[in-house]
Amino acid sequence: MRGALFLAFLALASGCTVSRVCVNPGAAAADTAWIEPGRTTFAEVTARLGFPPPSGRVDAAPAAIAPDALHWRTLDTRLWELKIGYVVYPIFRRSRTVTSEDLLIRFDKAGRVALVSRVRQRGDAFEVLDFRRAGAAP
Amino acid sequence: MGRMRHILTLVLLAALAGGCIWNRAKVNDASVAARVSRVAPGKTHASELPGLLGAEPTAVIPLRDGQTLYGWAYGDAKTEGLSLILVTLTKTNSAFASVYVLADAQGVVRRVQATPPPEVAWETWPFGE
Repeated sequence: MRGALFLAFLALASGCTVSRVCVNPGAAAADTAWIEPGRTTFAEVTARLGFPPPSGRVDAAPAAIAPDALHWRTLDTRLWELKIGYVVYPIFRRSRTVTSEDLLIRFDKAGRVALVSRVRQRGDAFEVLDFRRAGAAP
Repeated sequence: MGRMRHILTLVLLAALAGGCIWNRAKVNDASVAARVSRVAPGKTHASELPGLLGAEPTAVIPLRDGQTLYGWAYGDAKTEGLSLILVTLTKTNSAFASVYVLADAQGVVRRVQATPPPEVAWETWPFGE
């Protein structure tokens, strides 16, 4: 009887899923120390770093490139899911981005760098790798 | 009877165990990167780009001073996993790249940037760094 119940449970429980999704690994790991806010131009940045790739979807390119900003992103997301049943089944899902690297370069109206921001998040730890603004004291 | 029970158990286990997972999704045609040599900065006009590269751009981004950036994006995503009776483990690695062509206000191509098709690894284990 106990064995039959166990088999019935196995048959009804689709089980749990542990997934990990990495997008554009290394894309936001560029060296930005050479950039001088207020002096370095849009052309110089794109000549050295290129343009950022789409992040996650091919139509995401417009979000990564704008007249006044370039945005590189690397994502590492974990997903945990529990499904029970076959015909009708509730899904319990939890996902979180455990690591993200983000490089944002903004430009002023003259096309010069106004802001360099490079941050890395690992779990709850948030690390600012580079953050400089034009006109701000170093 | 005992042999029959073993066979039935085996069939039930086979039905419940999904096995291994391999899934690959290629997004757009990465061969557009190999055709960028047809574009001549300073000579080619933006209107010629779809014909030269063999595809319409996936993104047209207006920039400052009337410049326009045309993008042809492509990517690769690989999922590998192990599906057991109650637990499924998968890992997906995906990377995207683009050919970008910068044209001036007159529509003349000024710069071409082509990133090679991304190399994506097959990996299963979803834990760790």
